[in-house]
Formats: sequence, structure tokens, C-alpha cells
Amino acid sequence: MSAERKPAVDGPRSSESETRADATPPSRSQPLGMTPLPAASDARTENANAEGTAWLGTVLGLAAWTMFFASLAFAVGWYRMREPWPTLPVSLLGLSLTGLLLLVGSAVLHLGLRRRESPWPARGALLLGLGFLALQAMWTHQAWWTEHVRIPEGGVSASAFHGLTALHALHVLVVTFNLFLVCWRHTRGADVRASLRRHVLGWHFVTAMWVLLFVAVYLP
Amino acid sequence: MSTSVEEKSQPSSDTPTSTSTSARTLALPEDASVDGHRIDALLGWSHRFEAGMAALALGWMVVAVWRFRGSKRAASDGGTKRSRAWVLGLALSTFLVVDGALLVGSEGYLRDVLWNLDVPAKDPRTVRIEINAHQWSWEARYAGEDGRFNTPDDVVTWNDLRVPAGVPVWVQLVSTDVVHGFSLPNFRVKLDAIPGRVNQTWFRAAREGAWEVACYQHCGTSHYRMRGELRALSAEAYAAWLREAGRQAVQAYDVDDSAAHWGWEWKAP
Amino acid sequence: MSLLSLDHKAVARRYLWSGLGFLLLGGLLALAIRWQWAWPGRSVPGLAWALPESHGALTPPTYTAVFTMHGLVMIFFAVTPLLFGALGHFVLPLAIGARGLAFPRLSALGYWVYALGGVLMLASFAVRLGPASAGWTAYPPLSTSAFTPGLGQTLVTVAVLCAGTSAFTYGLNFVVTVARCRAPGMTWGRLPLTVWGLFFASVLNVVFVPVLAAATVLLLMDRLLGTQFFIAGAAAVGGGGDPVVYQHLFWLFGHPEVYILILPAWGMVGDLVAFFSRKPAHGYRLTAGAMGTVSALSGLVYAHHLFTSGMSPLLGRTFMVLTLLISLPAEVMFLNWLMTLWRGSVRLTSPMLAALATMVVFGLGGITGLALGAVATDVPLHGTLWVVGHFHLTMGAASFLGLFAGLYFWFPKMFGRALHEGLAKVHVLSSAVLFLGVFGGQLAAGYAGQLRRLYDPYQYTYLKHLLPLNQWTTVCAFLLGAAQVVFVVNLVWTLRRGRAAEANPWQVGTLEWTCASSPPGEGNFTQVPVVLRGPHALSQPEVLEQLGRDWIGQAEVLPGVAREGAGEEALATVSTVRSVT
Ligand code: HEM
Ligand SMILES: [Cu+2]
Ligand SMILES: [Cu+2]
Repeated sequence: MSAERKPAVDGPRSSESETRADATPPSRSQPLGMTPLPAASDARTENANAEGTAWLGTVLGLAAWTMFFASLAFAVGWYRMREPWPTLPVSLLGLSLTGLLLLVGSAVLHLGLRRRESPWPARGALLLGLGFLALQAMWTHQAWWTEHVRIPEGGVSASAFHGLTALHALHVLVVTFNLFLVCWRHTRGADVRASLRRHVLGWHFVTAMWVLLFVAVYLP
Repeated sequence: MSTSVEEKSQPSSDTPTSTSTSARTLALPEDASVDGHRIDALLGWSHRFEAGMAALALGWMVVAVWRFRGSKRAASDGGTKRSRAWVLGLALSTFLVVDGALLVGSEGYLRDVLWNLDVPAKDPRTVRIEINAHQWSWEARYAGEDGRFNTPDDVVTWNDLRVPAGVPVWVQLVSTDVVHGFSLPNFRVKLDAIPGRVNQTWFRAAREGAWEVACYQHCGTSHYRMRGELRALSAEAYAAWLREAGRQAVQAYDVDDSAAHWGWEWKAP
Repeated sequence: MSLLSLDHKAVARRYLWSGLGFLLLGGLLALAIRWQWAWPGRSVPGLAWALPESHGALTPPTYTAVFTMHGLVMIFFAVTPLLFGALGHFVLPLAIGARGLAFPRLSALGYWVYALGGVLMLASFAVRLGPASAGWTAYPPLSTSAFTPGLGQTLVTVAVLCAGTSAFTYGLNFVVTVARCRAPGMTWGRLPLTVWGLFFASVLNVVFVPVLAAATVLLLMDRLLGTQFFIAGAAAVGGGGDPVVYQHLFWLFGHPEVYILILPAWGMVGDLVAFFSRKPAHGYRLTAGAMGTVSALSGLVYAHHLFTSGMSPLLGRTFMVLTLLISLPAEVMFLNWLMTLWRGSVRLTSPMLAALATMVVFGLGGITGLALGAVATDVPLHGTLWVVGHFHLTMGAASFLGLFAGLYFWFPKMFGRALHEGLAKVHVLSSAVLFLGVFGGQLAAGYAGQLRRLYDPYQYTYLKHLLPLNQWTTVCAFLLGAAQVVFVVNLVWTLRRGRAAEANPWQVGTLEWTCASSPPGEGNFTQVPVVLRGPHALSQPEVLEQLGRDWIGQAEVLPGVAREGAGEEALATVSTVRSVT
């Protein structure tokens, strides 16, 4: 309600503004002419505002999308309650170490955000993401070909292992690709701090979802 | 009046129809069960509430529009504390009365009938039937004289259920293809047949007669033809039928026809 | 405005035309179903070109495809996109004094994803074995490839995923827009109820569409990759999964979805009833709170769709109680609407008539749902046309009439032209009466036991006597279809040569009518308005006294007040653009 308390700004009274409203469409980034609004008075705050909005959108979007993984986990939880869940013939240690790459990436990115200028944390994370994907591919490959954990023969547990691993990997792929785009724009001289901050959220998200995946599917 | 395993693919030829289906459009299907009247009575109550609520809401609306249409002055407030309290109070009391009645009435039926499998479990006369729903027919299995399922004297029928009147009939239900819905409209019975699980319910026929079994879950192209018949017989007629059908079943028993041995050990409730 | 424009009003218009197109398609499919029940197996007039082999008569396989596609088209491609895509996109930023949505590119993208889904839907009609046919609920195993082979079912599943994606994007967009882009002074307590309705529905969209996505993705994997998530019984390999998991996930989305379809209409009814009673809404906070409570509860009641699935008694009882509970806030809201009419000065304009009609059909729809919420009474009614009548009254008729209330109300703002009031009223009234005829007939048939989705209900002896009733219902349905011609004529005629709309034809104070031109230009407002009061400041004595009218803009300064409070409220420059056009 602070708006009501604003100091008067002189300008023509409303009834006098005879211009059609759409005659001079004010662009978003310009100051708004005769009645500058505090929130939009200069390009800097305007920018900060847009950044805040984008950040909030990312946070809420990712938070809501958690429901997707929660639903998958609900399904797997249901199957596990019905019947004993076979132990995976894939090394749990290997799987955890693979997930560790995401966790390390999270940490690197988080710390990297503090040291603004260096492009290396993001590039490092990019490598970690690719490494994660490669290792996950290796584990599923091994499970399929060496251990004969297959679809459809393996039933619902094999379906969950391969299917959910793939769905999660797809998310990691998207996040990694976005990170790649950010790095690329950075090398071309763009200011990417804000967008990096958002994409790091994506990274934290897939990391958290990996933990969920691990608990729901990989643990015996 | 004998349906044996040999003729199982054809429904019996004498077409029983609901003996006296009420021709009144606005009525529930005729109730032929011992316990269904409780549901019907509860529905009757719920209709009274519905009518009352509809009359109140619509009447109020009509009167308001009638009385205040184009009136010179309108009140300038968004309600007073008192008027809002009235709204809350009215909503709350309607809710307590209507929803309360439904809840309590429903709960009684659930406790005594729908979820009370003690009745069929304790009654020595109970008839147990295993039903396997298919695209698009109802295959029913009776234990036969030995009282055990999946034995040579099991009686298997297609789209043809027979039960003694007045006795608990305990149904366990499966499906091996898609989800079906086992309903006996005249007995207020409805239960999903879902692959991978055994569902169960029970009912009692109030009198002898012939009624219909209907599938209420969309189960493919010929869903609408997944119709069966249910006959309630006198205890003697039922026993005679079961004895004769069981005798024929033993003769026709084929050990190697494993597809025919889909029965299961009766599940405890 | 070009097809690539990112402006929220341009996106809204795209959704409007596509949505109306799909509404027509869905309506025609509904008529085909109705025809089949009145004259089973007889050639449907005008369908011979599509079904040459049967001379236009529906066969059992086509019939299953018809009702499946009707449901999916109506929910995902007609009503939701019209309520959110068209009205929501158009109104929401204007009503909160924003220059646009928070994420313009996301909203445009959302439309194109929806359009892609629409194309897939249409394409599915052309593939071998036809479109989807497993019901809009698409329960497995029926919806897996073992029982519904064919590309159509897959295409449609992907199309639903597309519609869901677009719903997720505009849901997110709306939530963030309301949270971040309100004009100065537009506090939460000053939002029009329409915005509240859209806001809550958007929250439901972002929270529950991902659940649908999960169920659908797992189903697609079962269809395409051979996974076993929802397969059990003879078709299962290696132990199989459980079809019931799908049912839970589907309805965990599906029940909130029915509130997603009705919340925007609730909001609009709340506003319109106040506007056209010339009086502030009764219990604004209670109404908004009630909508919020319903939204909060909506995810906790879903298993009432599964009362007959063999749920454990504990779950059954829990969901029965929760379901009955949700009727309390709905009653509060309804009573508030009635109280708003009381002591007002009621004006029966076309939007008001539509709003009142929405109240009637929604009221009846809600009332007929009570018996479905209690397990015992649900047993005879579950899976019958009673359910179909109930949900059509609420999310069919009420959403439809709410949609038209909004369309008639905002049309002048969208297109700068005024629809013909007389035709609009005829359309609203005839639709309302015929809706009651159609869905009342379905309720009656369902009560008498008619099961839904039956190609030929009269296979059953106990349903034979319902034929005349069904014929009457079908006649009503065809008349209802014919009544829509009135709307189309009005629309086409108005767009061609309708008179220019006045600046504020309904004499209300919300921002879109008082601070923007019709249609609003890019950026919506010449200056961002500074909001001073709530949306329903009608019949206020001081306004009547000073301005000689019974309304005042949400951002309009009362001259007297400005004089007194000199510096205080003087960011007064904000215009009521009444003077502008
Ligand atoms: C315009 C007039 C309408 C008529 C005459 C109509 C008629 C019908 C009929 C006869 C059925 C078949 C019921 C069954 O056997 O399952 C049906 C199903 C359905 N309708 Fe409508 N409908 C209309 C509008 C709508 C609207 C506006 C919506 C959605 C918002 C809608 C959503 C559905 C759904 C979800 C189904 C279930 C489909 C299924 O069984 O898979 N309908 N409708
Ligand atoms: Cu069936
Ligand atoms: Cu529901």
C-alpha cells in the first residue's frame, strides 16, 4: 500500500490526457514518461525487477515440477510395498559415486556464484554433468547387457530402473545443455550472471531429484 | 435348466428378463436385494435435501432478482459482520445436516453391509463364487460339492450366475485383461475387476427371479455387450443345479486344459 | 497482430479462435454420442462422408473413439484453453494493472505447444485404427498397446501431454504475474475475484499437471517401450506392475482439474454478480478464502473416483469425509453470491444473465454431487449417466456459461466492438435452459441405472424403457447445438460491422475498463495505474454525491479526497480513460 503514500509528482491530471492509450506505446525498458513510477524509474531497477521475476518463476516452476518426480516415486513406492524389491545387480557404490558428481557440481556452482567473474565453475560443472550422463549410461548398459536386467522381462523393477533413470537423465541433459548455452553466451561477452543464477537452481533441482531416485529405485 | 461346462460359450437360451423392471423412468432399478433398501432410503433422503437446497438457492435467487431488479438504490457495503456470520452459520448448518446425514447413513451401510465380510464369512450357507471378467464376458466358478476351488468338480458358467435366494453370496473378482466393472444394478452391487488383484464383495437376493449383470467400466469395443444374467433360485433348485452341473463338470474335466484351471484358493477376507 | 506477437492480448486471441474451433468439434462429437443413444445404429445425418462403410452410422469402434475424443477435446483443447488461454491471458494482466504477463515468450511458446497438441489430435482422426478410444481417463491396461493398438492412441496421449505442458506454462506465468506484476496499490485484497479464481486455478495447474505428466509419461513408456508400470494380468511380463497406480495418479490430477475448470468461472460470477447488482461483493474475503480452501482441499479428495475399486475401508472413509468437507466452502461462496444480489440494484445484462445461469447450473451440479461423495450412495450411481450429468452441469454447463459470461463481458474490450445484446441474451438463456434439459435428462437416465459409455444401452433389458427419455434428451442436445448458431451469427456480424463499443459499457471500476482503451494498445496502459480501492466500489455514497455516478475507477481519485489529502494520494494523475476514447 506504499503506493498510496507516494509524494506527489507533478504532471497533467488524468482528465487532460486526451491521447489514445495505444498511440504511444511505452516500451517496458523506457522510463515511463511523465509519471515515473518508483519501481520502474530507471533501467537498473527495472532490470533487477525482471531478474527477480525470472528468478521467482524458476523457483516456483522447479518446485512445482517436483510433483513429477514425487509422482514417479509414489508409483515405485507402491510397487515396493506390494512385493519385495529385487536388489540391483549394479554396484550401489558406483551409482552413489555417479550421483556424487551432481552433488559436487552443485557445490562447485554454488561457490562459483560467489566468485562472479570466473567462468570455470560453470565449465567444470558442464564436465561433471557430462560425466554423470556417461556413467549413468554405463550402468544401465551394464545392467541390460551383462546382468540381463531388461525390459520387459525384468518386470516392474527393471522398468523402474531403466525408465526412471532415463527420465532423470533427460532432465540432467536439459540442465547441462542450458548451462552450456550460458557458458557459450559468456564466452561471447554477454552478461550471464542472472541467467547463470537461475540455471544453477536447475542443477540443484536435478541433484535433489537424483537423491529421490536413489532412495526410491536404487536402494534395495 | 442346466448349464454345463460344455455349453459354456453360449449363454443359456431362455432369455430371462428382469421380472418386473419398473417402467418408471425416474426410479432406481428395481431392488431385488435384502440390504439394498438401505441405500435407496439414504438416496431418498439425499433427494429431499437436494430438493430443499435447490429450492432455497434458486428461490432465493429468483426472489432477489425479482425484488431488486433495477431498484433505485443499492446498498453500499460488502456485508456486515452480522450478515457474514449468517452466511457462515447457514452454510455450516446446511453442511452439518446434509453432509452429516449422508455420512452417518453411509457409514451405517458400510459397517453393516458393504465392508462387513463377517456376514458371509460366518454364515454356513454362504455361496462363494469366483468371477473372472473377460473382454467381453463373465466367467464364474463355483466350488462344487467338495467346497474347494480349482478341483475337477468346479462348475464354470459363462454370463450365467445362479444363486440361492436369501443366502449371502460372496464374490471374489479378477480380470486377466483390462479393467472391468462388475455390477448388479438390481442388487446395488458395484466392484471393479482389476488385473493383478482379487476384489471381493457380497450380497443377498431377496427373492427368486432373473436379473442382469452389467459391466460398468469401459473395457473396449464390445463393452456394451458384456452382459450376463443372474438367477436367484430357491435353495433346493440351486442345490439340484449345482449337483448336476458338478457331475457333468467332473465328466468333462480335462487335466491338460490349464487355461480352464484359472481358479484360486479362496482368499480370507 | 501477427502470429508471432508476444503480446498477451494477441496470444489470448489465438487461444480464443483455436478453443472455439475445438469447442465446435467437441460439440459435434457430443451430438454423435447423443444420436447413437436416441437412434442406435442409424446413420448420423451428415456423417456418411466420414464413415462410408456404415453409411454414416456409428459402429462400436467409432463410438468408443467418439466419446473418448469428445471428453479429451472438451477438457484439454476447448474449455481450459478458452478459460485460461483466452480469457485468462487477456484479462489477468489488465485487471491487475500489469503491462503484460511476467513471461511473454513463455506464454507464446505455451500456445504453440498447445497448437501442436491440437494438430496431433486432429491428425489422429486420420490414422489407421482411428484416434484414441480408451476413454478420456485412458485406464490401462486398456490404453496400452496390447488392447488399443494403433498410432491414434499414442498421438492423442502425446497431445494431452502437450496440452498439459501449455497449461503448466500459463499456470506458472499467471502465478508469477499476480505475485510480481501488480500495479502499485493493487494489494491482494483489491484483486478482482476473477483474478483470485484464475490465480488459485493456476496454482492447481502448476502443482497437479506434473502429476498428469508423470502418469502419461509412464503410460507412454508402457505403450512404446514395453515397460511394465501399469500392466498386470495375462499381458504382464516378469511380474507386471499395477493399473491401480495409474488410477491414483490420474485422479490426483483429475479431481483438481475439475476445479481448474470451474475456479475461473467462480471468480467471474463473483465479480459479475457484484457489478450488475451495483454493489460490492458480499464477503469478498470469505469468497476468496472459500476459493482458496476448495483449492487446498482439491488434491485431498480425489479417491472418491475410486470408491468401487476395492480400496481399503480406511482409505474409503477418509476420502468420503474429505469429499463431503469440500462442500462447505462451496456453500459459503454460493451464499455470498446470493447475498450480493440482495439489496442490490440488479441489471440483467447478457453477462449477468450468463453469470446467474452459471449459478443455477453449478448449484444443481454441486447438489447432485453430494450423493456421489458418500460411499453407500455412490455405489448405485457410480459409472452411470448420473455422474455424467453431474459433471457436465459443473464443468460442462457451468464452465461453458461462465466462459460466455466472461466473453460477453470482455468482448468489447477485446475487440472494441459491442455484441448485440439481444442476441447475446437469447443465446445465454436458450443455452441455459437446454443445458438443463440435456444434463437433467442424463441425470434421470443415470438414476434409472443407465451406464455410461454404452454403444447400445438397450442391450440391457432393465434400460429398455429409457429410450424415449434418451430421445428427448437428444432433441434438447441438438437444439442446444442449434442455439450456438445465435452466438456465431452475433460474433461474425459484430466483428464485421458491429458498432464501436463505449469506453466503459458496463459502468464498472476495474482497471481494464477505466484505465485502458478498447482494445488496449501494446503495454496496456499509457501510465501504470496506481490503485486506490477494491474492484467493487459501486454505489458508494460519496462517489454518487461528487461524481453523480454509482461507480468509480479502481485508480480514480475522488476529487474531494485529493483536495484534502494534498500530497498523500496525489499520484492521482492516473487516468480513468473514460475520457480517452
Ligand atoms: C455441449 C454439450 C455437451 C453434450 C451434449 C455432451 C454430451 C456428452 C455425452 C453424451 C457423453 C457420453 C457420456 C458417456 O457415456 O461417458 C459425454 C462425455 C463426456 N463429456 Fe460431454 N457433452 C457436452 C459438453 C461437454 C463439455 C463442455 C465438457 C468438458 C468441459 C465435456 C466433458 C465430457 C467428458 C470428460 C466426458 C467423458 C468422456 C469419457 O467417457 O471418456 N462435455 N458428453
Ligand atoms: Cu467389461
Ligand atoms: Cu473428483
